[in-house]
Amino acid sequence: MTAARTIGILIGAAFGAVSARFAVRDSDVFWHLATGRDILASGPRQADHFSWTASGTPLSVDQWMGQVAWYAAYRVDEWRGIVALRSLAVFALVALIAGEAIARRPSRPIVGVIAALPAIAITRFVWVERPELFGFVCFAALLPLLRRAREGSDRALVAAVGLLILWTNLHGSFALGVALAVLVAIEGALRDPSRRRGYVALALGALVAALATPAGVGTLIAPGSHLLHPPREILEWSVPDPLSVPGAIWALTLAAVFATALVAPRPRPTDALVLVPVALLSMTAARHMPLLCIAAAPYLADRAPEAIAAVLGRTMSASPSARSLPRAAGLVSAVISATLLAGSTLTAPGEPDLGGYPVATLMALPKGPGLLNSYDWGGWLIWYAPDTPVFVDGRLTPYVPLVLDDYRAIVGLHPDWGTVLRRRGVRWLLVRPTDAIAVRARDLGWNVRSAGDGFVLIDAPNPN
Amino acid sequence: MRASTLLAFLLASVFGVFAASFAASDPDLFWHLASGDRMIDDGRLLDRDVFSFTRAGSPYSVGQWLGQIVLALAFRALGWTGIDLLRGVLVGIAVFFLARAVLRVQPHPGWAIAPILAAILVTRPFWSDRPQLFTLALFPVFLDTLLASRADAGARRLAVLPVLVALWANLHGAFVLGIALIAVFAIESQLVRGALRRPLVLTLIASIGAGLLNPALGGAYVSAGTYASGPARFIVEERPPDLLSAFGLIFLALFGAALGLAFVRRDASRDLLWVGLIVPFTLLGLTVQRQLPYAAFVIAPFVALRAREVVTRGPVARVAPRVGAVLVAALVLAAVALAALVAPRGPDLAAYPVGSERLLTGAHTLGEYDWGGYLIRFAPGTPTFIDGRARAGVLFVPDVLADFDDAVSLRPRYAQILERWDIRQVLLRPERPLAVALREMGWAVRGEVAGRWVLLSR
Repeated sequence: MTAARTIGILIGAAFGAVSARFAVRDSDVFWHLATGRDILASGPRQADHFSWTASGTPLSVDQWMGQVAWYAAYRVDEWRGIVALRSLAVFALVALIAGEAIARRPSRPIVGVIAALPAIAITRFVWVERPELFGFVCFAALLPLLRRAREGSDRALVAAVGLLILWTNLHGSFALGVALAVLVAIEGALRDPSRRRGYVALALGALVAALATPAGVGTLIAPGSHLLHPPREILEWSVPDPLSVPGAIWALTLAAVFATALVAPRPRPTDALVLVPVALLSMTAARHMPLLCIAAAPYLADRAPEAIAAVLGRTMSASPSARSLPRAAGLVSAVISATLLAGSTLTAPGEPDLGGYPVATLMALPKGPGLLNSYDWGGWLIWYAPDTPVFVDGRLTPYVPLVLDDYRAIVGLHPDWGTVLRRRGVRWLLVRPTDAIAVRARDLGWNVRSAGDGFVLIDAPNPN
Repeated sequence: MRASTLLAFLLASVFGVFAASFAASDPDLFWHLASGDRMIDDGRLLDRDVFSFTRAGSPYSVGQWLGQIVLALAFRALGWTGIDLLRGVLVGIAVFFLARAVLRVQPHPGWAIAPILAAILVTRPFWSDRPQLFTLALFPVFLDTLLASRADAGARRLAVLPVLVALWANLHGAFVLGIALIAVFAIESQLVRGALRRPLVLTLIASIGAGLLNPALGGAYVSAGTYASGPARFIVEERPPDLLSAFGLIFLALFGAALGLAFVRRDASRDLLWVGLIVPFTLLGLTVQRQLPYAAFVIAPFVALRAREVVTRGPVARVAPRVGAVLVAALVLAAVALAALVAPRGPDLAAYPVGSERLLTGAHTLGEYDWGGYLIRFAPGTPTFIDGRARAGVLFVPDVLADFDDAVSLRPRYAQILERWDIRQVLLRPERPLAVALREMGWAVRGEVAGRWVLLSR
């Protein structure tokens, strides 16, 4: 085992263990779990039955395997199982980032570690219990495969296609992997005609992988739609803000990549092959920011020291090749990592953090259709109040545009809110006390069934 | 005269006329005009609020006093056409110096034109009639002057920069951008031991001093620092840019070209300058979208420069000086005539509550933030609750802005806010929750244009 891989595994295990200290709290985890449960019960073709506003609408199943994986983890040890899977995914993600960065400058692992730090830091914001986390792991795994493929490894070509097939079924972000694989294949075929057949196979394999999912061609629709028309009202789809913590990490990485590319001696245009498209993608939405940091880590480890030396007027000696460690060292690091991960998981929080949800209203919640709930609480209701179908939830797509427009009209007290309320047959409101509809309902004297810190459940008088 | 200079004149004329063809509609124009008018009439600077009832008498920044007076004088001279022509002239200046800067490093028009046009298009959303237009015009002047000095090691033309900084510091608060440009060139010159090391440092020191020559003195720098460290996110143009919007996509393409070309580096010693220019201005532009044009301005010459390495630099055609002078004069005259011809004769008020000013009684009115400037200009007898002069720590921020937001969004304390400020009438968009609720609560509808505005009174 190489020193880079060993150090990467140890760093990954440390961060995996740290991630296990955090309780489950993502607002989307609940509907992903419920969907995973349904897929296990009746297969991946699903129609909505969680809501009463979009009931029967066919659902996208582009993340079916990711949802099943989360639910399987839940089945193993409930919420602690979720934490364990998240911890494993964080371990893999960080180990891949750190390992690849260190491998680019094996003589000085500290340089690789420093270069990987921004990427590791920004992944903190995607330590979520969603298939999205698997997407980042796949991205981090694809980069070294594509590098090795360009360096002449046929096994890496095959492995890249296999990874893409897996990724396509785990999360919609696979489209980026397919695009990068095709780009690398085109460049490789032009640069090295002797391996043209392998590169053509990679390109074709990547394109076939994009369709190797129960969703078929439909799997491309959601990523394409979100790429060009991101739902900006959702925080993670908002524009990158360099004044936020993740935004600052991303912006500094972007600056470092640009400066390094300009200043480092011995220009290598092929570095642009992955970095330019990923950089441009990362500039379009906050959730894409970590992609640049992950892709930039090995590049910065490799070239930033040369760029700094060039500015200071010094030259750097070529980096020696990777050092191998004795087999025992690899075994010891594996044991330490496994112990860290297992120990942290065993002591992980056994319950989710439900501080942001109207838990106290659960007993007072009416059964059957008619509840208008706050958007952020939809997933939680799906899991904890299955007898009360939701008006809207984080799945978004089944509700666009009509249901979402009606939701906004009522909660935001638009001029036609009363008409929409009656047309939809809303009988109860579970919203925040600061929402305009809650304030107006209290002014109108509507019956408050239950109220607490951050929520209010109100009866809506409805002639229907 | 070089053919590239003629091309710059041509582009400036075309885009100057194009810019002048739009009707004035910026919500801040109206209070800038009112401020300029007030200063001209009173013969003194306006340093206290006289337009709102929530902050009447409070001191506020006078950093744009000269810009406001220029706007007011243009209006007094030619009415709304004067505003349109001023916009056309300032955009024309920006385009001319941008084109010159780009053509200086890439004289081949075929390769220079794409980055020039991309940078101009990125600026399009910011051709608003405010003192910031002076910054849009002056920034490329500085960039071109500094690039020219660096190219021919000519120190003499640097002397104009401190003078321009003194002017800029009174026109608009973003004069610090010009000083930042000089600082980048000065630092790079020190690092590469350039020929202009000393002149650039002297220019920088003189410019920093010249920046103090305004009524706010050092306060102008403090104001710029406050702005840079905490932009007012409640203002759309001070949020990060959406690079999937039309102008954002053009910037994305321009930046993508720059990033891609950065990987085919040729001359490391020359590239430190571009690192110093592109990195900070791009980060600034990605933080605050109104600063994005300045990132585009510094990226465009870089892209053109790198394109030169793809395509061999061709000889620059020259035009006889007399012919060139005649052509330039003809271009400028034609542009001015055409601009005067196509300039709209009035502002575009489609976004404002036109007609409501006749119904307002002068009582305390809660009006839309975006309509504050309109009311200042067209309903001077009705002081505003809030208007576009809101800045971090200035006038309405944070308390009046929070009250406005809570009231119009119908948050739980809306009734207390209406009582606290003794609001007798509201002038809002009909879809505002407060407007909907007050109408349902029986406030009288004193005027309304469906889908645009409603005036309600107790």
